[in-house]
Amino acid sequence: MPTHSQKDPPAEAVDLSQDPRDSEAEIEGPSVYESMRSSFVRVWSSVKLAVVLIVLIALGSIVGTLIPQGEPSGVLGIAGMSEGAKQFLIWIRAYDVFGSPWYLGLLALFFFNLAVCTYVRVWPHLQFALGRPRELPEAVQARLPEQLKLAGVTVDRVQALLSRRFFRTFKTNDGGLVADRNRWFRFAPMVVHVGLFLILIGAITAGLAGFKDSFPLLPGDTMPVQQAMRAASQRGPLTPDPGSWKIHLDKFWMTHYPGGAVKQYYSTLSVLDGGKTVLTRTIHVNDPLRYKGVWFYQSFYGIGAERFVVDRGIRTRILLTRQDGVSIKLAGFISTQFKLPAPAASSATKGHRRQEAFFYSAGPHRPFFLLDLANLNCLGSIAPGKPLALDGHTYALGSVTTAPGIAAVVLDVGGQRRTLAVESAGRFNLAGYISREFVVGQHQVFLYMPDPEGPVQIMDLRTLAPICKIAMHQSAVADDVTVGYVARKTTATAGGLASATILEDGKPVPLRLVDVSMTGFQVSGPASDPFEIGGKTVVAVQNADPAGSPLWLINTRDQTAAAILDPHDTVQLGHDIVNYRGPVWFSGLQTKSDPAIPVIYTGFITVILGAFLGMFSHRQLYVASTADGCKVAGKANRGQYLFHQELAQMARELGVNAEDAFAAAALDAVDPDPAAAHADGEDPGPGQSSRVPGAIPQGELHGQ
Amino acid sequence: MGSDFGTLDQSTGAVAASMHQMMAIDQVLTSAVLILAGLAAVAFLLEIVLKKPMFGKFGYGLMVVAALANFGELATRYSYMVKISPDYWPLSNLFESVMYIVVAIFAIYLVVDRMFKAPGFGLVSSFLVAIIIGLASLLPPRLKDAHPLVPSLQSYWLKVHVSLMLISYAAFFLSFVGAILYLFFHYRDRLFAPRAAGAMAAKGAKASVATLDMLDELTYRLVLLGFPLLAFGIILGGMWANHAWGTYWSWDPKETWSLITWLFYAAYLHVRLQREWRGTKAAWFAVLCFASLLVTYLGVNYLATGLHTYGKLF
Repeated sequence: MPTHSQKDPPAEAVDLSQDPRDSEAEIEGPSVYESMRSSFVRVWSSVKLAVVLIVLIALGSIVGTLIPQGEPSGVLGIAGMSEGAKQFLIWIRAYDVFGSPWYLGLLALFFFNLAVCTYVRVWPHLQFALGRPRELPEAVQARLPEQLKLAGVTVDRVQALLSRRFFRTFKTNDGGLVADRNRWFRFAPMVVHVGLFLILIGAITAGLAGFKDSFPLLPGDTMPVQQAMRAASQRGPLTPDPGSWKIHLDKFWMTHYPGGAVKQYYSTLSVLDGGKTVLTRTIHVNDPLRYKGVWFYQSFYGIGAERFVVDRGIRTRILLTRQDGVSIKLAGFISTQFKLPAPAASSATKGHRRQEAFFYSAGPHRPFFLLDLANLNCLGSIAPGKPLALDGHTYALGSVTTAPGIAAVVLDVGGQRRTLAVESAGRFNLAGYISREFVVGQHQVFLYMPDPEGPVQIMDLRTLAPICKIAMHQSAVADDVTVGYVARKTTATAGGLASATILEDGKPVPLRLVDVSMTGFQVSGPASDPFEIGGKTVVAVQNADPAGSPLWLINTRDQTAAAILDPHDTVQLGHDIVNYRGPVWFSGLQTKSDPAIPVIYTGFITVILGAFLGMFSHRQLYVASTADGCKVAGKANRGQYLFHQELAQMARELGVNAEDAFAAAALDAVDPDPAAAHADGEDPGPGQSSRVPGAIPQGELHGQ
Repeated sequence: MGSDFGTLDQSTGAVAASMHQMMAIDQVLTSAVLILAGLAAVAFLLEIVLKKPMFGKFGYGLMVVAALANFGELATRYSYMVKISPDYWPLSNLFESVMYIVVAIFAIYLVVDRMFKAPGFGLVSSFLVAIIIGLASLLPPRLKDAHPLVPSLQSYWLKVHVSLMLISYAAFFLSFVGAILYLFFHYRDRLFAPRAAGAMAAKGAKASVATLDMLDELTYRLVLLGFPLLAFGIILGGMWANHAWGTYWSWDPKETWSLITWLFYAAYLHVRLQREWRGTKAAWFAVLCFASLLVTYLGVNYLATGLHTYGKLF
């Protein structure tokens, strides 16, 4: 870039030093300090740097949409990626791109670049816009992209026309004109930049002085706002105390379309301030409540909330808010599945039960629960001396025996040996042994052994469909990978149950039992936080949708089932009589206080305004009188084509053939420089126009 | 969302009858837009091949009629569906959003074509629009049939936010058309101009420079139109999210990709400040930007699930 001191510019470059595009002139100076400062500013105000940063931020954001965001485990779960690549992605925090130091660093650099860029350009632009349009030497005018000669037209007529077309016009000393239109639109990019800054300031303010949280509320429950704010993880250090008022949920309900899809969620909220209800309003999605600067949004709703009445008079309500990933390992024993017999003639039950069911017991001396295999509904329980009557049949516990279990299986997968611990039993068929998941070819699979002595089956984890069956010392092809069944290892120390006999209508029915005390099976679904009941700490888990499935109470200490409850069941737990009343919906409220809203919204409006203003082109014209009329030179900063059309229209309005006017000017042109003739044409070479003293930078190098 | 209709039909016979009637009218109007756009493309082709401007005017007229048919198609859906779901707006699935973009393409085209007499602009625009509608009409019924809106979409914000986004897509689509036309003429001249000789070649090359300048400006101006619309759309989305959920921005994939697209177009506007980046490089950059826009519009739904998974293809 040319470095002209503002005080003493070379004669030909007078106009350049006033041009906002040549903003570096503003900060040039003689001292060493000044030159250091200027090189610093030049680097940081560079548009090239801005482009590089913008593209880097965009590419970083792309990473954030390709890699699952959240926990490092998301990266580990990507199929078909090498371990090294995964470690690298974890190292660069690709699972949390938008909170990673490098992404925030890029944003910081970008905003610093933006600040310097805007700062060095705002003053020259202001000077430019406040002053009258600068005059140009004739030689420079002759190189402007638009040239036309208007024979027989006086400067005054041109001026009158320009004024009608909203140009500012000024007479020059030599009888010509300078005119321009839309000069303020040159500020448009700067307006956008300022708006982006306001948004940044607003976001930082919101982080420091706002809070954001969400909490579930059961109908009839009250939540002190202070408590909501104290629990808020995203509370800033400067967040003001909201006061001691409370929010009460009167009612929560949903409306549906005729087809059954949910139409809308509603919560009726009351604000309790100073001991009395000051406000009651029903909110729904897209229609929040605001009180004393705190907003309440209808954000989510609960799959289940359970209600208990304990005989000591304590009424407990349990929120099942832990949605995904909560799975509880159940210790105990499960039987082979069997088909429930048809209801006896004497039974009141109509129709034929086709349920598959199994027995579950938490331990050798605990009751056996009869569970529906499809939905884990508890159909009843049997214990020594306590039979179960179901559909006219009687089930009683017979004998129980123990035997060792299986611990590991060795497989040969595509030539590689691997030992799989047989640990978990899934829900597809609870009789048998199930391994952890592993990968064969493209499939996530697990190993299933219905019989420890028999063949193993490779099962697709997603569909639960068998892929192949392999007998001992045999092999099979699964997804183009040869898998061999090499060996199995049994443990002699596992003293689990091996079989149990139940008496169905007095006839003994032997059931093989799988020891899940070391393997376990998963009950996953909405779960509660741990709570005390019957002298024990338990968590409540709803295993399927809340409409029909039972609630499991699981001891947190040994992960055994304390109770499996259907709605309206009453059981004794320790010294407590527990009555399960059934599921209730809860309303999930998002709450937020954001003092920065005015700043952020001002920033939003500023960005939008600036971006729209950027559509308009700053048009400059120079008119000089000639012997037979006048000649006009001009340029525009958003491309010449539409300006050219306007000039042609103006020529016609002045009674001149537009093509003749342009042609006459072209004939007059003495400058053979083709770059000047086609301002937006082929590349004239990097920065050429601004390096040549006196040449007009027809490209807007920095000013936009 | 897809299965809602079957049950709706069973529950309310009258609604079902008018629904089938509406879908039939819809089908006719969609076909009309497709045929009219295709005929416009033929007319624009004849204009170029036969060098008769009359065909160009005819093509422009066909585009006007196609725009009206397209508008009628959306209005038909609206007028029927609003009776079932008062907050309905024809943005409930992928097909509707395509028709929404296309009507905006028509509108912007009809204005821009009056301002820029860019060669091939009408031909490429109408041809691509015909292909887009053709592909959209192949979508499975669950992505075509009008549906009541899910609760989070029932808001006037939807109408403004999504409309602005889709209109900006339309502007960017036409800027993409400008960019590919630029590249077509640029590389055509590169390849064929040197073979011709004498004054004719010089004259041809000169005319082509003016054409290229015009296409460069056309692309640039349309980006300048799409850019504030996209900014407005994204910001309204943020304001809506704040209003509905209490948070402006969640780095949801669709959100992030719309920001990525905006950043790419911002980069386009900034690289143009360097003179040597205008013309060919800028045109290639505009094509790249449009590719990122396609990811935002269609590709994101394959990447991940998020707050905006309303119109999945699969």
